Amino acid sequence: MFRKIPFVKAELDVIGMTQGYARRPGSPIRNTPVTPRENMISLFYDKKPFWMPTFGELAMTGSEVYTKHLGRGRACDITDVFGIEWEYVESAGGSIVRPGTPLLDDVNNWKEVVHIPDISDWGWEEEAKETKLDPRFSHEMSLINGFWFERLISFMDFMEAAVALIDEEQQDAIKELFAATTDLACKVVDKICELYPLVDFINVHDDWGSQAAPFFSQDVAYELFVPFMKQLTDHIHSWGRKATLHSCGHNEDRIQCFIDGGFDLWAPQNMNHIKELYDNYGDKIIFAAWPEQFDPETCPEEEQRRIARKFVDDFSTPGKPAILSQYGRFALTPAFSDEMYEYSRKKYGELFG
Amino acid sequence: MSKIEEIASAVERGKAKLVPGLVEEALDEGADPVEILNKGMIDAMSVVGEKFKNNEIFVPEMLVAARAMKKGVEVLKPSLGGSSDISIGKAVIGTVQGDLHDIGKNLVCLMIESAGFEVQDLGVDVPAEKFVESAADPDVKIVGVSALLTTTMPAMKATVEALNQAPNRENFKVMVGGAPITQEFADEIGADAYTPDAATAASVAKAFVVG
Repeated sequence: MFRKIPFVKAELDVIGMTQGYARRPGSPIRNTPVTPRENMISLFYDKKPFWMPTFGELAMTGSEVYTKHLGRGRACDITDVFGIEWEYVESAGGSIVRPGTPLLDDVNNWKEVVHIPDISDWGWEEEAKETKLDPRFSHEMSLINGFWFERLISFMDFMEAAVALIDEEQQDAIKELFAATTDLACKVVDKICELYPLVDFINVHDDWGSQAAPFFSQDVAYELFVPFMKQLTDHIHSWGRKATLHSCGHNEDRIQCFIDGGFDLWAPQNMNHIKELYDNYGDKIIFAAWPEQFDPETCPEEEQRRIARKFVDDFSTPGKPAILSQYGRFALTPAFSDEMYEYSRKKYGELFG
Repeated sequence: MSKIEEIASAVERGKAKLVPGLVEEALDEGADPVEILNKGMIDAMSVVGEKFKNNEIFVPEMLVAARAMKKGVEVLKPSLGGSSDISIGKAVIGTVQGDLHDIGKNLVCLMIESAGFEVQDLGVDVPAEKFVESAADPDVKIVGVSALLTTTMPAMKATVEALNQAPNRENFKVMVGGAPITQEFADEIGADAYTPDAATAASVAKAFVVG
């Protein structure tokens, strides 16, 4: 019935701001006829959104418990539970392992040096009690530094990790290691899903490519990664949640791996050809997309509005919903976001009303 | 297939365990060590570089090929007359100050070494003075400067400016690369070349030195 409510200008009123994540500003909360969470759930489950949502409406949240033990998302140096030292780089807003002293030089030795932790007494319950999530939003819990290639790199440095992927003498050990890290990931998912009923999405990180190409072949991906991805996404789905993927790099050639790995959404970086991906695969996985580039300082308001309408038109094929990606955040001027909301709200009303 | 062709094939396929034996066999059969190096290995690595550029192979395959060549060179070295037979020049390569990324820099080191250079890897987080100091070596023909962050591009600019002030500047070429770097930026800061990937870096470096 809500779909029958016609758009009125008062919907554009900003009635608040989301909290923001990772030192980034929040997103405006509008005076919408259904909540952003209802819109997002409608988008993911029925593929019939009420309006084109922004990445900010899929409210990213993090667990300090997770990042302290397993992640790298904190704005300080940390030693993770495996003993890996992460160095925070202020200017980049992220952490990196200083190369040169890897924990592991041969994956066959992983059981001697990599100790899979018991996560049960890390203080999940206490953290959840203190965490207040806005029920108007779908929340996406981010598991920064995932469980497969990124984790292997943190153990071995990049070059040894890359070589191990095609070393027949290490491949079985990699599968054993990934089975263990995936099991660990499932336990983390259990904690999040048990304790955070407002978390609808679990965001998993695994960077697979450089700015020019994937790091490894599709054969390697299917042999070593996809089965474990599928195991984790099946587990996320068993909790009634959706699985989203953060995989940096020029990875469009690995899209079928992400689909077969069971992910519901991928947010590609903008060196990928998003329209082509959307046209060819948008019915199988949801994309976080971005509009054509413009300079918010110099682009006239009418032009910004035209770009917003084109963006909605380009990514509104029925059965292929999309959201505005964080890589399109340059576009979030008042004119663009007002136009994107109003135009998509009217268009989706006609399409799905 | 000749022994040198066998070596080339083994290098291309990254067969590090096979290459040393094949090099020994080639030497026993009287093959010219310089030809083994050039045709059996460096040319093979050029093929690998092309395949990498065309996304026919990926980082792991390129790495194992470079390592296979290295194993072969170890066997070959005693048979080569002198360093001029082995090396076409020296390259010093590093990631700029404030930047800890080493993936691209390491790939460039391997590919440039595979193209016939002697490589001095300066590591990551390298101050401009260290680049200049290393470039003072008269054998240095290439200085490679890497940056992976937009926030460390100013450090790359400062490094290239410092290198451009070096009294022996005409002795070496400055090459830059990294995810945020463009040809336009390279031109702006006064670098001699920008290359988008490790394989191209190797071929451009080689062209600078041997024409």
